[in-house]
Amino acid sequence: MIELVNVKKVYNAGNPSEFSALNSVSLHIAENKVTVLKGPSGSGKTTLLSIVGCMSRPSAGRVKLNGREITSLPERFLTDIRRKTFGFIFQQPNLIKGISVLDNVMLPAYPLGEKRSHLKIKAMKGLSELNIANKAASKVEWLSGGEAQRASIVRALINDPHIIIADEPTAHLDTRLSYRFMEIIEKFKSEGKTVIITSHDPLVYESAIVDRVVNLRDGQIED
Amino acid sequence: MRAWIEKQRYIIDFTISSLLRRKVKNFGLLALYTLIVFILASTMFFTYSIKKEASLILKDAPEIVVQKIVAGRHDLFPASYIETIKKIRGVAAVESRLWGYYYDSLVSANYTLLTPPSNGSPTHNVKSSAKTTVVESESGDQQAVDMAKPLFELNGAVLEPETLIIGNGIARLRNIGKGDYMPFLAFDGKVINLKIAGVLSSQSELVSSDLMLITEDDYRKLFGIDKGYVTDLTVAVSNPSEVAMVASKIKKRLPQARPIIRDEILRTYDSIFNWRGGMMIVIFSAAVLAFVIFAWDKASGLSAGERREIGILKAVGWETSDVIQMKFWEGAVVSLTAFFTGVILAYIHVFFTGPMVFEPALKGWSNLYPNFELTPFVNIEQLTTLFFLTVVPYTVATIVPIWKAATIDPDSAMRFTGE
Amino acid sequence: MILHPTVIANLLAAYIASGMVLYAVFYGVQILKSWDIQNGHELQLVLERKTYLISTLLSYVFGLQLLSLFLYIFTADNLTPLFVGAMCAAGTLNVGSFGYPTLVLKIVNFIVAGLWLVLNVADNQGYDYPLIKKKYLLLAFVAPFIIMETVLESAYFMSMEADVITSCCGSLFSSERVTGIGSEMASLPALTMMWIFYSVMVCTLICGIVFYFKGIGGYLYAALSLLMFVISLISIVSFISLYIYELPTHHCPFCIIMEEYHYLGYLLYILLFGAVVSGLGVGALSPFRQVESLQAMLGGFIGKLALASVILYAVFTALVTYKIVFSNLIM
Repeated sequence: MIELVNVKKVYNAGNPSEFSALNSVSLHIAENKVTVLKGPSGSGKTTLLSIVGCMSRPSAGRVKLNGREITSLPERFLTDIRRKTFGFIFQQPNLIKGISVLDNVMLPAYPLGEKRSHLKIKAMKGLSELNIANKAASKVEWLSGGEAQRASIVRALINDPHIIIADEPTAHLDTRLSYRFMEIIEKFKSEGKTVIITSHDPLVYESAIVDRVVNLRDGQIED
Repeated sequence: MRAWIEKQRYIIDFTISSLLRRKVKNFGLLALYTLIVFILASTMFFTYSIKKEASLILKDAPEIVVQKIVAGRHDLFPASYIETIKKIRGVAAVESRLWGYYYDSLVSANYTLLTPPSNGSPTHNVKSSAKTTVVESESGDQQAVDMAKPLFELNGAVLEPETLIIGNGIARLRNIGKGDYMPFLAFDGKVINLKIAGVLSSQSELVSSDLMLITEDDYRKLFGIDKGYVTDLTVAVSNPSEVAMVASKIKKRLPQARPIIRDEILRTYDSIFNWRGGMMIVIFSAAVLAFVIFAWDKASGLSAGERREIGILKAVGWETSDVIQMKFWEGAVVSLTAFFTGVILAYIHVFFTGPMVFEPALKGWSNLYPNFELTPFVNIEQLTTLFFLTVVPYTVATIVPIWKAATIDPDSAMRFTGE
Repeated sequence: MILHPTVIANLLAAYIASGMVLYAVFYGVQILKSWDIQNGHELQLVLERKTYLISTLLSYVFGLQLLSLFLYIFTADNLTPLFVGAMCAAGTLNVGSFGYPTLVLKIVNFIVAGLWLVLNVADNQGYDYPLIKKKYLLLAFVAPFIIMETVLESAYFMSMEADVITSCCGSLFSSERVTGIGSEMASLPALTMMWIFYSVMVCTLICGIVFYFKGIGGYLYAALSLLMFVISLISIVSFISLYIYELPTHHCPFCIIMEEYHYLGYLLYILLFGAVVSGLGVGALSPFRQVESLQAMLGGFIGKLALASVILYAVFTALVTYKIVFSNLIM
């Protein structure tokens, strides 16, 4: 599904502050599996995730998605692939304040120019699946932490992506909500989606639904 | 295509909602923007409509005015010249005029005194319904800067010997009206009392504010001018294409005469107002520049909240050009709001409230300020010019900051920790 | 120099456009030198981001160029009373020797800027930006013209002094005196010109439609659309203006954008400009139809351009015909 070969990412190249976040990482992520990237902070998890998720380009190495080479695609095309293929769940819910939950959830679909009535139906369906349909019209400031995260999950799913990427999803959740989150992940898997999570929370990487754990340290994969 | 339109609709909706979310921040910018447009628009509306008014007035003016020049100075015109000019082929009519200035030390104002045309025979006196058009030329000391000051309407007043008709400005200044008496100090020191027969209508106040109409006999008595002299002549030419020719013939036959062609007056009038308007714009350009710097600063100084918001948008799948489009719409909404508000306010200011701010700078050459309402005159050209002077600089100033904002890394959203 | 608000606006627009183009060229040269799409280094990522800036700048320049073209004519018209003998924009443009060259450059620059944007849109569809070097070469080629336009325009306005005696449009575009291009265009017999206009227009439209459906004759269509553009401009001077003004001797191509004629000129000129830019776009893009990353979409895009061009020309012709048929002028 996703294949990384000798991927490097260097920041501030040529400057004294140069540092390489990833050093020759090769990785294969299988379809319809739950993969966890595990490692201490500063190990390059987030950088790796952003390369996997087509958010940034590697300084060297190759990235293949479904067999297609995407390494040298400019941002314009990476974005197009990203919004159709990936759904992102961040550490923070990262909802935009001041607009309603429904508007927030529909946000990723705006650039695709889908018909508003269709989009609304899709968004309401997603919200009701995670039991927050009653909050659709309220502003995001009024949501509890768990509700906000569920809203951000619905947003990640609005374009019906094949791959879900979650960055430290349980960092700000209590145990009960963390379990609730893993149940949702399980549901994704049963729907045939591929899930990639970064986490150093044992509750996540020791979970039974996780198929593979990748250990990262100092920008390299440990085995 | 439909998807593209739908997309623009989404983006515009989002832009407007995000503008409204930042009311306070945007209000300052919008207010300043509107003010700049308002000032420039007022200046332009004002100068253009004065110019327009002047050209409308001059349309009915005589083609040529002839003065006599002695030693480079304006001198009284011998009436005997009239016959010489009448003989020139192409001349349709020649009329003499008598006019001059009178300084009133009581209110320290200069009046323009004028005898209405065809005043010679009492039977041809100005009838109540007559709308007479007169152009008078006031000559500067040197060079030929001749302002055309025309047009007045007699509101049913009849001018008889020992009476006069005064302009609105004088009536206001001296607080007098019909039936009152006005004393004048004649050239020989005698006091002449004239009865006010009427006040000129306010429609044409730009030109008639400081005007006084007086009979020929009274005029000559007041200034001590001999029967054989007049102030200047107006010449009507039957074929417009011969005006220049006739003017040069006058010059040739009467070397002391100075013919002034209507188009020259118009041109001079035009360029003086262009110059004044342009000067104002140049002065205000400092304000525009300050505003542009402010806009640049505002656009580049994104708050942490906005930065975060753009980061989120890019992370969830908005592309750089989508964000640029959003910012473009944002600029368009702000600009159009400011532009139209400014223009409408300026319109009200100039045409309905009397342009209080610019009146002294743009209008007057006399201390008797006319108090009148301009006829609304706005055309596409003025609006385009305004657009170029305000919206274009603003838009251009924000391009680079917008681009900078739009190229925030999409993965920056992953790096936000804590609110 | 005449200190007139509209003159100031013109000069401001010219300087802004030049400034933007220079800025764009500065980064364009960097792109020409260091562009390497295969590379993921930071410089390349920075350059890729710069392309967004440059295309935004160029779109604004394009828009500005169109607006300033009309503003320029408006200004010329507005300054008319200041010049003896000038009766409309045509006379004012004749003041000094830079008036008409500036106008011509403005039109040329508008068309080239439009072509650049067409190229840009096509290039942005290919995942490897296949046209990027050509695009920036074109930009480097256009820039001197835009700067020259600014210089000429400044010279024109700066050297302007009121009261200079100029010929008015009545003599400049009148068929009595046969000197200068303007008069030669006007002296072309109206009926012959009408025949040429309609027959070339029919050829152009047919060629465009054939190209749209069959995909052959792209270059021919581009050439015809350029030819048609020139013929249309001549026709406006030669006979279209006569029917609009309903005067058998008034040939001015500028007065038609004025209020008295319901701003009809804007519509005519915008239709023409749109038609020639999209028509030439067909020719500019045709060589790249075989480029791998563009193959999928370029054909469709070129087709759309051709269609747009054909429709614009057709509307132009319909409008002109309507004006001729319902004009009170009978020739």
